[in-house]
Amino acid sequence: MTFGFLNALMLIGLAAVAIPPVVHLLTRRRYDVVDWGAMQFLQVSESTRRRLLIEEILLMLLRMGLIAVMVLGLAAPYAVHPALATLGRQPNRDVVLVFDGSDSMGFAGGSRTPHEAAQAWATAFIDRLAAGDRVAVL
Amino acid sequence: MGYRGRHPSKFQYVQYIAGSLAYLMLHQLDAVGLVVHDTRVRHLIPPRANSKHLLNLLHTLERTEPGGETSMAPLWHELAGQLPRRGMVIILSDCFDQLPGLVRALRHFRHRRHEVILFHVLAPEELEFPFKRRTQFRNLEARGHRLLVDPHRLRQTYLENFQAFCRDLRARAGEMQIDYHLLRTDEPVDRALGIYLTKRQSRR
Repeated sequence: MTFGFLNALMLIGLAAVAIPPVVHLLTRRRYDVVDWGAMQFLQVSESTRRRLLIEEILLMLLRMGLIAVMVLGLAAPYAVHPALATLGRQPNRDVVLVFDGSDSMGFAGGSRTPHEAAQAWATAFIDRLAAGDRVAVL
Repeated sequence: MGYRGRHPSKFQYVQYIAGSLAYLMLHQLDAVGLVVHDTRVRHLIPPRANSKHLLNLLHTLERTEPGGETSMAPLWHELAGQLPRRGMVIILSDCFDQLPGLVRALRHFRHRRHEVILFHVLAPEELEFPFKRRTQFRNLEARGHRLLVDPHRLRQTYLENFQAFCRDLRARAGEMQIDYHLLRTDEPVDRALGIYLTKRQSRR
């Protein structure tokens, strides 16, 4: 399994992940000041305070995560592994179906003749072909 | 009571109301007294009915400044015991104290058979909490007590607490046959005067 980045230099952009915390630290100094009388109603319970803090942290992580995902996307990661083969786009193929046209294909012993079975199979197979594949029938 | 938003401070507002009420009452030949307090009673003028009395009251009102941390309930409770004669007690306050204590004090006034009008004076900012940006709230009445909050997230909690308090106060006052009226500092002062005059009329 090998993997890497097609555009590895873009990873320098991961430094941008630090932008939300830095902005937070810088704006923390700035606030309005109000001389207030109704202090008793501003008291929040410990659990509410904790919930608010967790929400703030999650939002911060979300912002940092979005930036990271964008940078990683621009860096174009790739991976090479057989198991991943079916995930990618298959290259187009040329298919030749050879039908046996001899009389033995007309044998009427089972529920249907081999010829009919072959036709059914071929139809199903053609349905499964991707657009861009080419078929010839002999 | 010193909180000032975009309107006169609550303290100024009640200064106007108290002065106007005193004038009205003396005009009706009622005796008028005045109590001003913060942490303790600052001024106590016993009720008199003569014309010079008005000047005395107005002068005192003018001189007063809002003061330090107030726990008003014990003070009110004590005052209820000190007032000599049955009369009408008009309370002008934001009532920012613990509710049980306030109710106990109000009950004491009623127990002494005073008629009570409670004017709950509040600023529109306290009622609506319009703050948007990060704000440090400094306690007017206790230097050093500060809270730095993001009001956006706190608003819900604040409004719930605040409205519950006002509702409870109104309900408990009603139970004791105390007239409760909420005054906003952005309302004209004469609303309070009208309320007093109506109550006075109904007594006659």
